[in-house]
Amino acid sequence: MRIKKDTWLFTNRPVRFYCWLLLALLVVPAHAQVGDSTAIRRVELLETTEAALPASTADWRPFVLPYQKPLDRIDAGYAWFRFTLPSPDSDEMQSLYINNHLYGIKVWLNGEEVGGSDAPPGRQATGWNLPLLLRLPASAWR
Amino acid sequence: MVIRLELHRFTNVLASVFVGARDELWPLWQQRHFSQGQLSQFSFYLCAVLGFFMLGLWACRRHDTQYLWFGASSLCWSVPMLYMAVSYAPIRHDWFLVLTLIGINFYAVTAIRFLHRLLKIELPNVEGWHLSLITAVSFIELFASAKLIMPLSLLADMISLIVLLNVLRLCCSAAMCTNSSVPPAAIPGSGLAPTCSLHFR
Repeated sequence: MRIKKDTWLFTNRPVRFYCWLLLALLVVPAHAQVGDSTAIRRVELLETTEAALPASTADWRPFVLPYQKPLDRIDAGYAWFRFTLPSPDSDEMQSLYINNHLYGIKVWLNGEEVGGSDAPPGRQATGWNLPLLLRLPASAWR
Repeated sequence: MVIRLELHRFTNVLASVFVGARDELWPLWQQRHFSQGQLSQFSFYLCAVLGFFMLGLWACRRHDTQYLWFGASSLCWSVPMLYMAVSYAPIRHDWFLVLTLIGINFYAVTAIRFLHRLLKIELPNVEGWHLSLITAVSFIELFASAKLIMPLSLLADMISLIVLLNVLRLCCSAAMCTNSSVPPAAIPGSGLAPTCSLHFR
């Protein structure tokens, strides 16, 4: 039996397969659960031109994440985000998760560097599409 | 805790931050890494291989420009896929981003030309205007400021969308035409070749 032309799109097997595949890809991230993890939204922000860790008495100002800033300069400095974490309730391995970031980041916990985006020297990290998961070592907690 | 974000040209971003047990955050990271990172990586390799393969086929069959435009569109699409898959820029990031946006612009041009060849639609004027406008917008993007780059990219997308909608309009016209006794080429301004035959199988 000849298929009517206006229903071809819905009866074609490869088309249906790709439609289901696309739907599945949309559904998969929707099931992601953060569970009991703490979402950090309220932070303190400081923008500097220095790469060194700024003093705690510097001119930090309250800020709500996400941070998004268009700039025209090639090397425009650094944005610092400071926040306090509650001590972990258990001995479970604690981690830091960031959905996306642009450009490179480095993370300090109580003054100890615990990691960041890895890019070869002289290259710019572009993690806006790649999530970042960092272990927070037990030795850094106080 | 302190997080340092490097600031460079174009948009600088730090999304929400989560702190918690590794067992809870690991599946979240895995899912995102798969749907955004690994799929983009796979698409990059697929588009690059397919693009070169099609250009190779076109080199053997020069009269079949379908291969040329499909290969070119695959290679153009591989640029944004590479941008999405890598964790650091192979060249300076601002140039990499501009190159990616230009890649998307020309993907639309080449993909629409492929569609025209596939559906045997002859619209040289539309193709010429499309290419000229996209080239002009892409040239401006090279020197655009951080605030202007995304609106320009959107403008290029809109131009291509209009041309694509025209293709869909012609397809619908031809589909209706094949149901009636009027030959497709008789539709005024359709751009369909006299030997036009749109195959719906």
